[in-house]
Amino acid sequence: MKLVALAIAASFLFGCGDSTPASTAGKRIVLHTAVVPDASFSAFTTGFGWNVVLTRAAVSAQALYYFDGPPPTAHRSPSRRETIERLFGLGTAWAHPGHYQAGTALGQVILASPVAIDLFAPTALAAGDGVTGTYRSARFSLAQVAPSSAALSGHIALAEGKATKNDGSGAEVYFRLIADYDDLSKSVVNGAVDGCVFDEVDVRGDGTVTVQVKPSVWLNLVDFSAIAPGTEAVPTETKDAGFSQGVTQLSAYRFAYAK
Amino acid sequence: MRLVGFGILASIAVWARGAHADIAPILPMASSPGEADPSSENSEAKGPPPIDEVRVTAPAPPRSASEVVQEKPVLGAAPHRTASDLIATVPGVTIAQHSGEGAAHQIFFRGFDAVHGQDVEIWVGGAPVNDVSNVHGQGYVDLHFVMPEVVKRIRSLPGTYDPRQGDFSVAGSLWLDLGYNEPGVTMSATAGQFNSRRYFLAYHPKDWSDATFAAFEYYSTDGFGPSRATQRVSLVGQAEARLGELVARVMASSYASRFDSAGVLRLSDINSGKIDRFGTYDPNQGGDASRTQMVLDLSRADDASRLSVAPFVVFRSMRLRQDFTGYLVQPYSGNAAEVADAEAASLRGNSEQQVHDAVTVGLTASYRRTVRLLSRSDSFEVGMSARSDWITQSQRKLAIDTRETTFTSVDAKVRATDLAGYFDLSLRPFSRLVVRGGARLDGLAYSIEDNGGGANGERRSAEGANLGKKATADFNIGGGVHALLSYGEGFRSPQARSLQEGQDAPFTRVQSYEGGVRYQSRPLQANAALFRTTLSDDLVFDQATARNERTPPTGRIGVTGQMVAQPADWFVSSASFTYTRASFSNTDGGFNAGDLVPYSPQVVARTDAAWKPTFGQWLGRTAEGQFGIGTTYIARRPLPFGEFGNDTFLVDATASIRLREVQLRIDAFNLLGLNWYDGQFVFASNFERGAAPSLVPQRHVTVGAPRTIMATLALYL
Repeated sequence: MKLVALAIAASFLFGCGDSTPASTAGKRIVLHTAVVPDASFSAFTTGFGWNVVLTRAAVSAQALYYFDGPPPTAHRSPSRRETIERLFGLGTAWAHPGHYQAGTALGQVILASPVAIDLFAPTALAAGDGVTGTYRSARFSLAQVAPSSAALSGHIALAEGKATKNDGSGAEVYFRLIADYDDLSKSVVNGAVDGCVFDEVDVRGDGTVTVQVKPSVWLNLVDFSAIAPGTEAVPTETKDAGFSQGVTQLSAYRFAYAK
Repeated sequence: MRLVGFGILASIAVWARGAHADIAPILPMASSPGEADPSSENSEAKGPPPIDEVRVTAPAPPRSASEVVQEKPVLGAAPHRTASDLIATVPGVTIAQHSGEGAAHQIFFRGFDAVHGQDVEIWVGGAPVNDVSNVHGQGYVDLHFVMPEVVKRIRSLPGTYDPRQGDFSVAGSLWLDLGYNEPGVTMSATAGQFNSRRYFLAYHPKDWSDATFAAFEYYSTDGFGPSRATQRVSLVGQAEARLGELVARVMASSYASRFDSAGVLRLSDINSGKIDRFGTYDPNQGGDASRTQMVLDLSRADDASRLSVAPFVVFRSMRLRQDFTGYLVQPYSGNAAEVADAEAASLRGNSEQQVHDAVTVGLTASYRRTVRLLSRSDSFEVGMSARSDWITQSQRKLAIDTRETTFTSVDAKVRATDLAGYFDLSLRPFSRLVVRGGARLDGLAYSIEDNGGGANGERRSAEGANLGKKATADFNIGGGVHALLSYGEGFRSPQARSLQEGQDAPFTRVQSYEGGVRYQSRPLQANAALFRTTLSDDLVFDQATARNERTPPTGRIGVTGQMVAQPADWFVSSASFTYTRASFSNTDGGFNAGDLVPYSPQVVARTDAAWKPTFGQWLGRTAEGQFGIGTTYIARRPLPFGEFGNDTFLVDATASIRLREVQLRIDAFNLLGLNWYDGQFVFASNFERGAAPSLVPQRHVTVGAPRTIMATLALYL
């Protein structure tokens, strides 16, 4: 009891009041996850000038990660502290511009088994865990094994629909583009699409991370003129290098946080 | 300076009349006239040797209320396997050993996570133990070279109130004094669980003081789980003799070890049964270490003055291989090619090999004399300290599977020099008040050449100085009770590789304050104090890089108390309690003012007790027993993200019986069989290559030793 009394006395003597927090910096948080397509996901124009209308689009995911390292595409405004530091030549030493370093993982969703994300019927993923901090970039980890889902028909990514050439030629292609893990591995390691933009935010508590998927990026490099026209009833199912590359583009996925 | 007894005793040698040989043994010292030094009782039990010298000694006056001298009775109460175990008897100190039984201990002291020594200055027998700019961690201290049997006393100087305290005395200093008082030859063999074997051999001439001895140790164990085998061999010798008017002490030691390390495990993997709690992710961790050193301590004393010069040389070598993060791709600063190389290396595993070789040469010197300023007991001292380190070090990443070197981040040569001078005054303005204090100026210089990472062999140098002022007011209340107020300024030197060309070495500045009371009588010593320490910046384990990184200023406040009671020769007990609150003082780099500093436990309580009964006569010999117990309670260890680590209550016990020449002893460590975690860290890792790993920082632990029983048979000849 005397020691406790001494401890209390010490608190007063040394100005340690109750106003200071009795914990370390940061805390662990729960991050719910929603996957949504972008607004014009089902109808868009590709870089090769094809108007695309999708009827199916799905991708499988194994995990999502959120990091504090800025994405390689970021042009972030420096914070007030960083601006002051730069005046004195004390800026943070970042790697060469363009080389992405993820930094510390602040949040994650690790799925027990691969999940099919059907962009025409988006559903919430399992809740993830994380810690407080400034979120800046993300990783979308594609599954290595296709989930048993009708939306994917045994593949890792799938997009189906009609592409119409917008040059007045009237060319139409009914397609079903598929990609398996081996196809995607030509562009990414372990299925990890790294350096996706996470809208920079200082996360201080539980919330929801929304993953916006952009099929327009998946198909942007697909040359539909090389694909047999097919029919609406029997679209041409094919693997396409442009599609595999598109699925692994970091700009195909954008992350944001909301309380 | 650190003299005979390494500055622990301020002694005055009084030469008796009569002829002296040019070289004569130093006889057992008496702690006061006519009073035997308890540690020398065995020497004196054989009959008084001819008296040709009387040395009158008294404990050095304390610099703070909580300063403690742990003597042999307390140090020997509970079982201890290493000298590091011994320092856990110091109030506010607790230790962990997260890198294997042969690796240096992690030291916590009064709210500081000193890691391997960055915040605790440690000297043993007159030689500095902290490694300057060690590649594994600043101030690295490996105490395995000294056996617990030959540690005579530990003087704990919390804070920075003594001008003799130098670099790394941030939380405080621990000065270990060597001595062995068992006369004749000691031979012991120990066997225990996990195929543990220990052989100890010592000799102490009976007519010499306990400062003269030689001791040898060999220890090996398979360890309590995979990748925990250890071997070490050590020899320590010390002799003290008179050379004419000089008293000379020579201490030399040599030590080598090799050890495996199981490394860290994720707590979630243990809890889920994914890995056995005694398992390992990477069985190739471990290392080796060696240390060879010599100290020559020459002193001369008369009624009014004392002069001492003590040069030393230390040869150190250390290799560690550790894997904290598996295949995690860690952030790296450099150009694109370097970053790509570092990332490619990480994908093959972050098994880090750290090598540190150093030669340290230095000396301490002091001159003290009485002066009559305000009273007849006033005195002043001037002292100097020099230390120069020639260091070669490297850090290389190795592929986990092939052990191939994949990346070199450090390949450096460092020359570090620390020269210091101080003065120390002791004035008695009133009969009940003594004021002690002075100032110490340290000048440190560094020369660094680095070829690792993006460095290309550029040589750079930096220099800096630190002036520390110290003062203690000691008021004699009466009845053996003293009230003390103390203030001190100290520093911690920077990691040399972090310095830029021409940079003014950015010391961590330390300010310590303490107020408290001490009580001392023959059967009882007690103290209680309030303390506060502030740092201009700090080093804290960072979960992003899995190493200590610079942080904003921190402060620590706390209360400590200790009581040692020895009502009779056959019983001693010691109990201490320390509560410390460590928090950040500024907001910066992810830390907010007021946030707790992670990792160091807030509550540390320690008890040591021994009962030494006599069981009567058997075979014409007195049967003497000893039953000892040591308990350690560690609680409220803040961890990142608002969490606290697991509290721990450990009990070690010993029981022995001795018939003069033969002793049988049983030691039990972790007697209650507690499942506990020795080390607790929070950081990100990835030990699952190619899978979807968990990457968010999470708790990693090193598992503490289970209940371990050791039996020792000792012969005293």
